[in-house]
Amino acid sequence: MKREDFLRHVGWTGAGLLWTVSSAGTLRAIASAAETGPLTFVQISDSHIGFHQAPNEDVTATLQKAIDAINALPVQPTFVMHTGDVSHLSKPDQFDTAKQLLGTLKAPFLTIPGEHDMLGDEGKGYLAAFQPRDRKDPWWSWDQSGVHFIALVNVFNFEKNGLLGREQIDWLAKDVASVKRSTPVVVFGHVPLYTVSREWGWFTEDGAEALALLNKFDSITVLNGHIHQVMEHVEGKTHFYTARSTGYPQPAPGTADAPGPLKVPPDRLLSTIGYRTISLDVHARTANVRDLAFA
Amino acid sequence: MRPLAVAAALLSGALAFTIPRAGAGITGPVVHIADFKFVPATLTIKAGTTVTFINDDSDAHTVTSATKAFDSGGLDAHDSWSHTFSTPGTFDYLCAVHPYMKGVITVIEP
Repeated sequence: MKREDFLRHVGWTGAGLLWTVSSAGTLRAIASAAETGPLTFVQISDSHIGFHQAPNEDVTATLQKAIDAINALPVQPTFVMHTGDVSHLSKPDQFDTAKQLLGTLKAPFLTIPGEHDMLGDEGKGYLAAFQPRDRKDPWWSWDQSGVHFIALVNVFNFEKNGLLGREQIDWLAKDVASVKRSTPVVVFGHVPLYTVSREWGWFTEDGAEALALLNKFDSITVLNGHIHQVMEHVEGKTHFYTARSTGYPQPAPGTADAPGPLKVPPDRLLSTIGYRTISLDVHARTANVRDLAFA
Repeated sequence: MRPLAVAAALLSGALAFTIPRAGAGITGPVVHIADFKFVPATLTIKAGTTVTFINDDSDAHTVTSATKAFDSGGLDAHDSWSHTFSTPGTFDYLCAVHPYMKGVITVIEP
């Protein structure tokens, strides 16, 4: 056994022994769980810093609400992932504001871009603000507590979002080749990898190619943003969850002529936006996804 | 195109000009971005003409040439952006936020 495999195995077994998900869907600790805790993390999405229209003229305040709620969690998440559209118009001051706010999270903060973060400069401003210097590509993967996490970017082609592109698909094929099929896999992307609405562009053109590469795994959880509403979808072993925005909702496909900000009444706004916690039962290879609105 | 042909094109409606809804100082043709469409989606102009694009939607849009010959960057609600088309040719463009929104500017000899 290679050292890397050994570590992965130990991490996986360790986490799996400690935690389980009850039939009610709540996380339940069993013996000595307090020593390491569960693998929990948070997804936030689509903050659109710079947006100042109905139904939310202060998206900075609602992002702050998310940060306050996450920082107040009794057990801090392993990390917080922002799944894109950090900014509304890719303006430097919008990235600055977002970076300052998100920098106040207690947990480590990660992000992938949305198409709103790519406007006019092909993502240069976004990458300057958020790309770690030691990371070669904007997409990457890592192993944590026996889980293989993959952060994909499907907004780099301005003529087709979402699109992963050949380079990223080839990278993904190499990335997953050495990961055991029993390893739980969690995938992040901005635009849904499956087709939510072809008419509104809520799909990834080469998403099926990526999903075929992931199909060897026993458990695949895909977490997306982009559509500003909660949706769940299952294809075989793959579970898709799209997240709420921290800023404003969008209409459900087929309920409006076009996507875009849904002008809900002011007293309803907070019930349509929020954040999400994910607890992974590594042993049972299931994800417990909780969508939490601000009201 | 000869002047006579331009006149004929004008009469036939091939040259579409929209009167700006608002905004003093806009003298050339205007393309509105409304309800997730470029209106008009096709426009023929003479080289040297400045076209103004106005975002009437509450969502953000862009005016981005398929070849990146021009790019408005993100246009907020009510933002406008102008571009002078100096060389003849056919220029396909789209919205980089919603790439299914497409338009064409045809630039003819002045």
